Amino acid sequence: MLGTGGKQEGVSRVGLTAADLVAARRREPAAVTRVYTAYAPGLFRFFLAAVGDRPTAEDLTGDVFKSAIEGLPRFRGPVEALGGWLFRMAHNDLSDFWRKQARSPSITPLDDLLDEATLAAGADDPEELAIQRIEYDRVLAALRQLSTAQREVLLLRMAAGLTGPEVAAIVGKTTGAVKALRQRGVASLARVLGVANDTSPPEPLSRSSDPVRLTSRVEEG
Amino acid sequence: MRRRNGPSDKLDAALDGRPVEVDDDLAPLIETAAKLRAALEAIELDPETVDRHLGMVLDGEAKVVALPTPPRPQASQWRRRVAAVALAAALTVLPATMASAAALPGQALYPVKLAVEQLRVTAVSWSSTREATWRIKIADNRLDEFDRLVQLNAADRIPPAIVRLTRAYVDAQQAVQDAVRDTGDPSQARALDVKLAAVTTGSAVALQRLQDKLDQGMLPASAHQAITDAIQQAPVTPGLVTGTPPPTPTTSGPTVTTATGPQTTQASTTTQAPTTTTQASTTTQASTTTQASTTTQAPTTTTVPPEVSDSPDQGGNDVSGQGSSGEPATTLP
Repeated sequence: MLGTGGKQEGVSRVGLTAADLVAARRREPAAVTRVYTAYAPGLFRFFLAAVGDRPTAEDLTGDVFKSAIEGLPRFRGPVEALGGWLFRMAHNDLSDFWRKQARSPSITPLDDLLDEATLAAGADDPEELAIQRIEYDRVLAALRQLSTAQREVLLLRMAAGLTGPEVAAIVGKTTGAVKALRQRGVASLARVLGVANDTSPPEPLSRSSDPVRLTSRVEEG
Repeated sequence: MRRRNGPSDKLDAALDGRPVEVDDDLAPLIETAAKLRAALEAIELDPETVDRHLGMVLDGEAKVVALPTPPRPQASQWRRRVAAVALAAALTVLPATMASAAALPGQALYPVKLAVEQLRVTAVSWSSTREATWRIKIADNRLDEFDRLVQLNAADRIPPAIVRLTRAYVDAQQAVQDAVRDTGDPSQARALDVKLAAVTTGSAVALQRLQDKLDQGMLPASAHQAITDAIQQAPVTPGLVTGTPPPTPTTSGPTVTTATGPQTTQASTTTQAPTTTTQASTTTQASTTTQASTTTQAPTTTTVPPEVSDSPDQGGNDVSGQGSSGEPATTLP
């Protein structure tokens, strides 16, 4: 069951209430805005880290949000389950995106990824910003070298803030399998970033249109 | 039986951002998780995208609440009426998120305006200077709303507007202090002070305009007490400016005998349009009775009124509590 992680009955982890949900179904601007401010940042991080292209991530985020608000009258779960429901849509949209990418591959360099983000935020310390940007770019580029399953499980946990069972329900695997994927994902990421204990050299980053799999193991649930 | 505190659990804790005790084997993974978390947290939506996304859903859906009509339109108020009509028209044709910038408390789009403001503050919160600049802008927005409600004689919405202005003003003051402390840059401090002073002056003028309306009986008598109470909690005194050095008392000025009297009485004696700090500190003008009385009041009112903390908004369905005291509804997760 999704959304069991709510600490208070009738209140989601991000502070939405059942009343917010009812009002958002009626498209009351205040409630719709609350839903957006609660989930859009996580959706955007999820998409941007996955696809590496800001405009694409913005569009995917907007599409999920719009679909969610339009589909709210059909959502029958408690408010605690809303996050899982939204990110299931995000997961499906991302799968569609990758399918389209596979048919007509086009990759956008990550170099300007965070540059645009920080410019948008109005950065005023170029030197510090540049150092941070390089490091963040490196981490996100490494993340994109993981298998799709590893990457998505990590992002659903860390960008979306979902619980293990919620992630498992979305990706259609057991919680044990999700946990294993997460751990293998972090280990792979550590190797690529050069922070692993082992002596094997980190695998080089490649810029392929196909999400590169670092591990050849079958990642089944 | 589930093993607790094993490497797997520790890694889970690290992925969730919880503190864990790290051993040598786990250290690289914990470090990696921390790097990934930092990289993800650096990703922010920009405000224009927020506007666009909200507009995709709200445009064409939001209801427009009719603005109150001034009860006694006069020739001198023509421009105000035209502005009110233009605003109402704009609200019906503009996209919701664009129109929200002009929304007043009680209108359907006002919560959108507050939410977008809060997102913008969040986006710049990494820089105390930029945050201070934005919080001053927000205080200026609250001042603009208050001023327009006064112009529209919307008596019932004026007290909560003053409360919101007070809260935003105090937030801005605090942000400016934080920015000055953090940067230590005198030029930036001066620039922020100038911006905040403009809000201070504008607030004084708007409050004086409200006071004049009260004195002239242009507002319903039933609203007088609530408005008077709100004025007394305002960040500045009508027609006066706080946060600037009080004007030097002139020796020829009359002795101030009404310092403990009600402020409304003093303010009502002012016949000239209340304007700026420079007027208050001009020696020649200070020789009038009303100007002289200002010297006793100027430094008094920059504290947070206790009443503003959690009072529900009386302005309709807006999201109260913008600024740093924002409620969960307007804060990012």
